[in-house]
Amino acid sequence: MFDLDQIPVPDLSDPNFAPFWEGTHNHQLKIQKCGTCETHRWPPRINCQTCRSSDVEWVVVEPRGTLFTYTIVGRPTAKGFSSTPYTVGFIALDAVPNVRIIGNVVDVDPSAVTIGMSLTGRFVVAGPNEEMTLIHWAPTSVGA
Amino acid sequence: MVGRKNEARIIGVGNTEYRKKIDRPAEVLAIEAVLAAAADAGIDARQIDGIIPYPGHVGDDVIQAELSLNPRFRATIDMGGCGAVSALRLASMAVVSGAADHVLLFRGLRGSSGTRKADRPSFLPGQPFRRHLEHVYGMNTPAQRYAVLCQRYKHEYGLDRRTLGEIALAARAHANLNPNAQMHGRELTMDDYLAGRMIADPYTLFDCCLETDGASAVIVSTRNEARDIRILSVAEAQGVSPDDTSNRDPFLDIGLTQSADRVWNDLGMGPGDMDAAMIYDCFTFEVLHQIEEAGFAAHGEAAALIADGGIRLGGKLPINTHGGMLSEAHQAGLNHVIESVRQLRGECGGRQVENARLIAVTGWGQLGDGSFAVLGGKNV
Repeated sequence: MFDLDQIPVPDLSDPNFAPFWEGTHNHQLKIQKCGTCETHRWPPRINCQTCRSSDVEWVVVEPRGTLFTYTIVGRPTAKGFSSTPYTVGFIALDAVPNVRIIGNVVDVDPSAVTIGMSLTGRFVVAGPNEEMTLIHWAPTSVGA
Repeated sequence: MVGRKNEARIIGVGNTEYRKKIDRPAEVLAIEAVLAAAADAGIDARQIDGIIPYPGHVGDDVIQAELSLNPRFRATIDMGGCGAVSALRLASMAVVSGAADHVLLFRGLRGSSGTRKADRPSFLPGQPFRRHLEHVYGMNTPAQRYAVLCQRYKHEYGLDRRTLGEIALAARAHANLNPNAQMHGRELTMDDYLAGRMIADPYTLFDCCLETDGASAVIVSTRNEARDIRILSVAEAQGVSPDDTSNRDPFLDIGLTQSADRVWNDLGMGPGDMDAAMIYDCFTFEVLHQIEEAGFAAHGEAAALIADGGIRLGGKLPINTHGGMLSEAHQAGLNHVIESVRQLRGECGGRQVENARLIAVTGWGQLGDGSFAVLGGKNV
């Protein structure tokens, strides 16, 4: 469905993102947590928006969540995404509901995608030289 | 300074034709629009001594060089589509303070025949995290980024596709009364709307604004002559987490919520006092969204205003009588300012709002920035 080997690779050494990409490479979803007040934050920030501290920890969270909102892309606009339709969603994490992760919703026909559906992340290698690991989100199977 | 006692006025407006393709450079179009605005104001273009351009398009240096201007004041507002109304604020501050006498706002665009949108440099904030978090999932256009707002609203409040359709149809009906509109003479029916091809669900073709070749210009001064239109109050604000929508909470919060509130408080007026509104309509839902955030309807209730011709000429609140960006032209909102001025002067012929005295105009850009102004005609 996706041309995974054609998706442009961002600068994986960017200090604001390197821990995230190292995490996905090891099949872990890591997000920022303030080292002072312990508020989780996303996307990565330099400062905590609650207490302004720049102390940060990267913590592993379970890649499970519910679909907060989404769009079904109907015409190709991005490299690596020549085949449409495909779904991009914002997924609110079950463990940290105030954090929403952007990702493709897969294994479900776009017409059957609904806000509130339960999703589980899956780690998928991508990039011309398999440099990065993305997270795709599929419906959580019953009993899983 | 730019509130109740704001003495700044719009003294001239001008524009070129608005078309899908014009075989002249954007610079030539911009010069034509600027000269038209100066002529409309009854001043020599050399009296322009302040310039606020639109970032990423024809620059102030071009206008300065080509028209032999000698500006005392130049400033850039990097707020995307919010910039036209925000520029009314900055221009007001400049002329009221004496930093300049005649401030020019302009846009010259080859929006349709230029580079494809997805291939242009983006001026959206948050570029680093967009590369890491959005582009790798095939999310890279305004339609996609705005669609997720509409989708969530639909979930929270309910939204019939025909309500969005009526926003598109009302814009087209107005454009058909406006000979300079890009879509003039092209009827749009609900069946056409519903058959539009998918762009980014829930947005189909007719939910998305036009791309236009053309130019527009506005001149602000403290002059006070009968034809001059007063900028009664103008404010701007940003949404929470202004560079990111994905983790914004409340998710549908935008700058307009605050900026409109400030203007209403400042003027001691409310939405019910307005004779019309020009609302930045990059996408159909953003008209509905801003109707609610500016207070023209309560949250979840804009659909009732939109139904039964409520936003058409003759309705409770005529919106975008020029056809807006959906059907007149994409001029990054400056055409909304121009239409407001022409309505308040009574120059709109077949699309004139009867006795228009007060018009609200919004600016909306960068996924969170929102500006709001109330303009007043004579006897206000």
